Amino acid sequence: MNRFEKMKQSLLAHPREISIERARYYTESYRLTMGESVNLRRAKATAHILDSVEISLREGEILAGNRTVKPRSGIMSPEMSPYWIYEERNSLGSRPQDPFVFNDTERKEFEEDLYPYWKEKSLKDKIEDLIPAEVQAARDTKIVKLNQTDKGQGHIIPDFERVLKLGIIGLLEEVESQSPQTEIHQAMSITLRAVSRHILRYGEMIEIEKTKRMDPKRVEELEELRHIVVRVATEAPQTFYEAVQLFWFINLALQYESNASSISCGRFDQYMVPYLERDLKRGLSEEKLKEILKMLWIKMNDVVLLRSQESAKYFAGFPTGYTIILGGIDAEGCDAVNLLSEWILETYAEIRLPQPNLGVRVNERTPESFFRKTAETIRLGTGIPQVFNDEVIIPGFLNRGISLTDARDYAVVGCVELSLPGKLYGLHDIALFNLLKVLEVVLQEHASKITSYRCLVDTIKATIQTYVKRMVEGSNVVDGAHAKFAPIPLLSSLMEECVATSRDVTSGGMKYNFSGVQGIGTANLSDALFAIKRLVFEEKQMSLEELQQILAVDYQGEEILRQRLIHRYKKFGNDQEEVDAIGAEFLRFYCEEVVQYENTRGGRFMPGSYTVSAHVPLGEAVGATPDGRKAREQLADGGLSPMVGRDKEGPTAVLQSVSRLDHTLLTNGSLLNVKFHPATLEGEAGIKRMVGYLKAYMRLKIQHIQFNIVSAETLRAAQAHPEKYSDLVIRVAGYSAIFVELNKRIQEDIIARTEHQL
Amino acid sequence: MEKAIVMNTQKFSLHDGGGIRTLIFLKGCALHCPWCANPESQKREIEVMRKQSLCIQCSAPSCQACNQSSAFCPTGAMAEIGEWMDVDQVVRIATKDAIFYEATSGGVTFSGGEPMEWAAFLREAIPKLKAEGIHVAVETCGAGPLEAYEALEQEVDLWLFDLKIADDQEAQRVLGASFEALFSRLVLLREAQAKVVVRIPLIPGYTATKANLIQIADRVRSLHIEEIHLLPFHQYGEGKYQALGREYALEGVNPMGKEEVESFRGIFEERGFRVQIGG
Repeated sequence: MNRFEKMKQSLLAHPREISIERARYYTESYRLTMGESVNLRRAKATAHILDSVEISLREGEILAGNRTVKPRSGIMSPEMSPYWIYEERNSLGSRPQDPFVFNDTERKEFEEDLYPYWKEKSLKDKIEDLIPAEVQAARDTKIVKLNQTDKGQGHIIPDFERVLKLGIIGLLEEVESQSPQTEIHQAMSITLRAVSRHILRYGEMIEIEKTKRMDPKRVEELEELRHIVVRVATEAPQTFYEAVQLFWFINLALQYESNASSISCGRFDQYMVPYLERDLKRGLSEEKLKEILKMLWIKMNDVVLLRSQESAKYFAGFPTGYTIILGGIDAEGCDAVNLLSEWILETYAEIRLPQPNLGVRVNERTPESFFRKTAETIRLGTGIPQVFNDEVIIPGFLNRGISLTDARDYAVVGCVELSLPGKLYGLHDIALFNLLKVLEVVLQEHASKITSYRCLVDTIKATIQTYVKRMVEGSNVVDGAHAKFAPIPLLSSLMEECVATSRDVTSGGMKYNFSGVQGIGTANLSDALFAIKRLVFEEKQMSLEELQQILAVDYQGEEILRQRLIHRYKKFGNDQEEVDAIGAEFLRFYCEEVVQYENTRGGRFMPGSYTVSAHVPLGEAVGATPDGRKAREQLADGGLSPMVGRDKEGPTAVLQSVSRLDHTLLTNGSLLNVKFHPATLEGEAGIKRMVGYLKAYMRLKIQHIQFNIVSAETLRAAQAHPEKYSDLVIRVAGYSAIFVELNKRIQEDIIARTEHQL
Repeated sequence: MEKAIVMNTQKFSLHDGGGIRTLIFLKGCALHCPWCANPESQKREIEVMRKQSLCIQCSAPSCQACNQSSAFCPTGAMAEIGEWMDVDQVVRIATKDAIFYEATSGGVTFSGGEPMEWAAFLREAIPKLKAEGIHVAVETCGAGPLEAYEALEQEVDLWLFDLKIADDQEAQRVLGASFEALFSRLVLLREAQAKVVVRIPLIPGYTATKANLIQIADRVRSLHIEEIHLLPFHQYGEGKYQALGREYALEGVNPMGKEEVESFRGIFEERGFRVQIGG
């Protein structure tokens, strides 16, 4: 077993635990800073964490920086909400999805010290107090779900290019040379200085580690590492090794600051390649440089997110969102694939874990060889990389007033959220909008009064309008609360615009400020409305009211009707224009409604359509629907995928149907899952087929696509013998996870997604 | 406009002509190969199939025993196979995936049944597809009328020509047609320098004998054909006989093992053919 294989095994061997350290030091600091401004208090809390957390170096590591001493531990931010942790404190270790062991001593500390301190003082309290009654009513219908009410926002790409170019010393100089110096600058400076001290602690620790080692090779390795660590604690990196090391330290520090999901990596191949090329020119070995990459990939899997039980349903498998985007085009519009883009795919193939969540940008100029490399990596079956389409995303951004140069530099945060490195704070996951639930509510309230299909369509649209408005109000409350109570000075210090304008990221300091809200359930809504149109208004087999009554009792005694609805009426995903057009109409309507609204940071609301794994809990909120779906059954996965099992015409028809939706409008991001049987991609013919399929996807102007290439038999075997499949990585939605760490319900969902073959 | 009975259209087919293809199955075949994997394609008429696996027993204990009409059946367990379609309907379906054909060097393949029995239909449909730049293949066993091959020899980009039993009498008995008659269509196509791949199903007890395969190989060699596809026997058709309420001569016969297939491959490779296993 080589170094990385060993590290990978030991990473997965331990049961995950909770580390209370971050919460402890944050709270300690907060007790001491009472009466100071929130900016300074937050900065000092982050600094205190960075100065106090226990640091470690694991066996064989050649990159320093562990967020927690024990691998894959969860950290907490009770300042956001102590409630779910308190309520779940005894079940965290045994819950079905993403369990974490909470040891007795730390749990006691939480119960007796942290919880009482944060109770009634957390962000969650402040938000819930501010939510207007009608927004709460919209949440109660389950049409609208507000996110990020109890955790850090994240979902942003720091300006890593700038970080590497300036180094910590340069970042500090920029902050401290601003005039006038504001409290915001002061907060930034506190955090940056703390990061530097934190890194120096690693230097000292490695020095001590070194003296304990006998193996001269390891001693030499540690000496090199120490040297690099000490350098990047202040200076701008000069080599690839230094650049990667600083990159990782910054990522960890950002985790301590906000414990937020998806502070993503952006276009790693673009900003790192100059360092790589310089090193190669200096004669550094390819092998050594690739080892640094592999080490980084392992470390990215060491950071997992502790989520509440509810949140873990939506984001099962603790995705952290170390999302890296490769290829695409450069600022001048030329192909941007470089040596590092290829190396990243190659080294990933050797590690094969859920992180980094790799994505590839494709366009008409992408070289055939890179399409091939992409197809070969997809064939490995881990669902990585996912693919994004420049040909639709860039025009989409232009349509939202983003400059051409900025639009060409887009990257992805988290799962599939479209962003601009260092320039955009998109609040990408602030709310979910359940389109299918709208239909249910409309039928419940108005079935007897609706006399034509057109009337039904109009009523649904009016209802969408009403609830979009409430979703916007609610999102703005959450947005404003983050600005007021949870500024993020460290993250802000990495962004040129924030430093120059003396504004925090959360207060509109970025160049572009959006709020992203997802319209979910397009496929189910298309299927359901098409069935109503035929059955009720054309065939006149029953009235809408009669149908509604059948739905209200979940098709009890009407199984024949339900089967007819499933099998005898056309469905979205089969290249049937009549059905697909319904989805297209409603998704467009939703998008156009959303973009009319402004958020609290002077930006607009942006529509998206991705569910991650939320189609399961969102489905639980919806009763029986006229597409033959029973009450509480999941919604179509992904966001744009057809309903599970209803796409009968194969993966070309799926793309044709999905392409009828206007992807240019989905500027917050969208998601399409396609599953292939491994046999489909065998051999050279299989690679050619995948390359062709990807090109057709690109020309059909679909925004995103991702694949699961694993047979149902393999997944069944993994369910039966989880111990033998501890490292089987598969695609959930917008991110990959280890299959056996998902709960049964999501496992079944993944198995059920139609497997296309031959 | 010409019409034909379309048994089925299948998108994202990865066989029968290369790339991603749409297969158009036309119903009706003059031969009656006992191993036919698509028995529902043999009759030139619309017929009802009963698939027990889809039956939810809403009206009867089993699909076979059901007195309801196929129009009633909620799940499609009982379904009519075949639909009369005109040329434009078929062309519309066949051009839907053009973007995939272009990206993968794929296209459209007419299969059957014996599609050449719908020669007038093909003569109208194929030029329309060619006008859209679509690669067209036809899978035939040679059972269509001679003039049909003459008319289409230049229009079709690739012929997938199935040969089965080389002994004339045996072919008459088992398939219902003379080998020489079927083979004459292949000769005609080759004389017109049409691109042809010969395909041979390897059926235990029927075609998969050394003598038969050598005989076919030698005859084909004389036509300067370079590529042969061997299609090993499988049992995917078994359930369909049951669904049609028909006897199946190869019931319980095992699918062909890899080793046996490889030994047959040798016969053709020795004679200089490029051999592919499967379509």
